[in-house]
Order: sequence, then structure tokens, then C-alpha cells
Amino acid sequence: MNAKIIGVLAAVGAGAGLLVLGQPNLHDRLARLEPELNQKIQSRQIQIDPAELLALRYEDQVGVRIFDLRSESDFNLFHLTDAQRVSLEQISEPAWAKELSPKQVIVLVSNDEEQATQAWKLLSTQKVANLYILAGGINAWIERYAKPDQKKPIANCKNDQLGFRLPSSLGSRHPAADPEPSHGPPEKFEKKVKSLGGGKRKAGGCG
Amino acid sequence: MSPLDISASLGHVWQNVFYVLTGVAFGFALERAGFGNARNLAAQFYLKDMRVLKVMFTAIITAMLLIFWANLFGLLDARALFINPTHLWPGILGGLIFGIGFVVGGYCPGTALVSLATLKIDGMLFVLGLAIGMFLFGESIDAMRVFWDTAGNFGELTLPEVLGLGTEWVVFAVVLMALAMFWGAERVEQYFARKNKGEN
Repeated sequence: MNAKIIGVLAAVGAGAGLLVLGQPNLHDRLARLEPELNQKIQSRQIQIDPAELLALRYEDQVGVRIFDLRSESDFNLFHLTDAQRVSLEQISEPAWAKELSPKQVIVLVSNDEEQATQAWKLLSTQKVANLYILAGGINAWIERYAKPDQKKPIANCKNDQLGFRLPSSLGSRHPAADPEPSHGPPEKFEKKVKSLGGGKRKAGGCG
Repeated sequence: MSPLDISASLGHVWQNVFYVLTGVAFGFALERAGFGNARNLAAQFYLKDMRVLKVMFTAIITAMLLIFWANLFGLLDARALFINPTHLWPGILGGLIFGIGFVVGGYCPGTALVSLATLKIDGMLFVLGLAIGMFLFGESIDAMRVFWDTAGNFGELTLPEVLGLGTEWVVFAVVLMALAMFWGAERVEQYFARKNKGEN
């Protein structure tokens, strides 16, 4: 058999093999990357303090997008100003993830961290950049920024449930949805959001 | 898992050494394929010698199959590879200018450097022209910035997305297309070889 025929058979065989076996889907890739992602989650590199998110919202140089993973009823009760509600199904769509700008900081929020962490894994697997989770979620935010008369804690709150009874569905009209930064001494937090400037452009070229 | 961060694993100096060695190996392969000779390259446009098409498409399908097999086995994360964003209209205009330069000069940028490395005078002149062209482009880009950045800007676009097909189907179709082109290219070469014999 001459070299040309071997080459043709190898190329067709390799192409047909891929056709039969397919390519890994999002969940296959997630399973593959999970140990690496879990390490980042456990080391708390990606969970940002509510004070850091608040500071980012007042920074002119940084564009922040907040995605809220909670149910519609929780979202209607309370959400951060400019937050956009999304579901895990939506963010599993490659087309949705592709629309996210690499020049923005993306913060995922849920009532605590459970759903936001799942969403972070799905989006990280799709190589979305500058992705963070609000540490402690909406419960930590309300705890920090709502005045005592604006929140009533719910006893024995389950995982990823709203931990406060709110008087009505105020959404982003709740005073804690967009609190002004403290006029007293600045809140201390460990800065985790990395600078977006100066990213190297990777590019290939032709022969 | 690949792609490897060479700078992180080897350091900045060895990263550059690695790049130089990769470039030398690439240049050597181009030279061995006969791409350091403008006659061989220009013959493509007269349909007498189709080696440019054959070598390029062999490289494309070899790399493509290796990438997607490696992706399947978890050796490479194909989504982490850089995809050149599609700027359709600047791409078409640039392609036309590139094509005219290729036909007139007999080289593309990479092969011109290969020719320069083997001390061919036409290669040296082509690289000089290339440097002047790059300088003029760099000095004038601001005047056409809007066109350059926005005309037909589709971002990172891939064939499976455009065609709405699974990656594996597109890979198989590209393999079949390349093989059909190789077959067609050989028929064209044979036709011109017979024609040339008849004329002589």
C-alpha cells in the first residue's frame, strides 16, 4: 500500500472516529476540571467580600455585572441594584456565556453560596474570565447593609434559602440594595478581584 | 492539561528559547517543503504546482484531528485555545492585499523569512517591503480605526457555530473536503503537465 493511500485512510479513519465518539460536552468537561475548580473554591480565592463588591460598584474604571441565581420570588423580594436574574440552565448555554465581556468583572450571587458556586463552575468550564462569587451571598449582604428594622432573621434557615423575612417585595427598591459606601472608616476586606488592565493578547499568525 | 503555560513552567527566558526553536523547526519544515523558493509558491497561482494548497491543508487537517482527539482524551482543553476574532470586512480587504503581494512577490510573510534565512536576494527584498508595509500600516491604522475595529466584527466565530453543526461533523466534513481538494489538485497538475508536454 503506498503512502498516499495510508494517509487518506488515516485521515478518514481519524475523522470518522471523532464522528462516532463525539466531543466532550459541558458536563464532561466540568467533571474533568472539577478537582482544579474545587481547589480554587476551597481556598476562597474567588469569593469576594460584600464590601469589595460595594467598592467595585463605585469604581469608574471597572464594569461590574451581577448575576442572581435565585428563584423569581426571592429575586422579587430583594435584589441588588442592576442585578440580572439567570438560571443554571441559561448559563449552561455556550451562546449565553459567549456574550459576556472579558473586560468586566462578573459576580454571581445566590442566597448563600451554593447555587452561585455551581454557576461559577459551569461558567469557569466555559472559560469565562473575571468570575467571582459574593461571599455569603445575599444573606451576608442583608446582614451587613440592612438596618435592624429592615430585616427579620428566619430561624433554622436551610441551605441557600433567604435567611430574612422581608416586609414586602421591594426588589432593588429595598434600602440595602444599593447602600452608600460608609462615610466612616473604610470597611476592611481582603481584595480578591484582579486588575483587568494589561492583559496580554495572544495571537497566532500564518506561515 | 494543555495548552501549557510555558512562561509559568519554564520561565520567561526559556519560553523565548522555546519560541525560537519552534520557529526554526517551522521554518525548516517550510524550507523542506520547497516553500523557500518563490517559483514553487507562485506556481500555485498558475495551477501548475499545487504543493502550497496540499501542504497547507495537510497541516490544517493534521492539527485539527490532533486537537480534537487530544480534547476527547482530556489531554487538551480545546476551549482554552485562542480563536482569532472574525473581522470580516478588514479580513477580506487584508486578504486581497495579501494575495496581491503573494502573487507579485512570490512569498507570504513566513516563507519570505525562510527565503531570507537561506540568503535569497528576492526574499531579502520581500522582507524589506514587508517591513516598510508594516511601518506604514502602523502609522496609518488610527485613520481607519473604526473600520478596522467594527466592520463585520463577529468576535470569536467558529465553523460549528456558523453551520449549527456538532464539532465532530465539521471535522469530518473538513477532512473529506481536504481529500477532495487533494484529488482535484492532482488532476489539475496532471492536466497542466500534459499541456506543457504538448506545447514542448
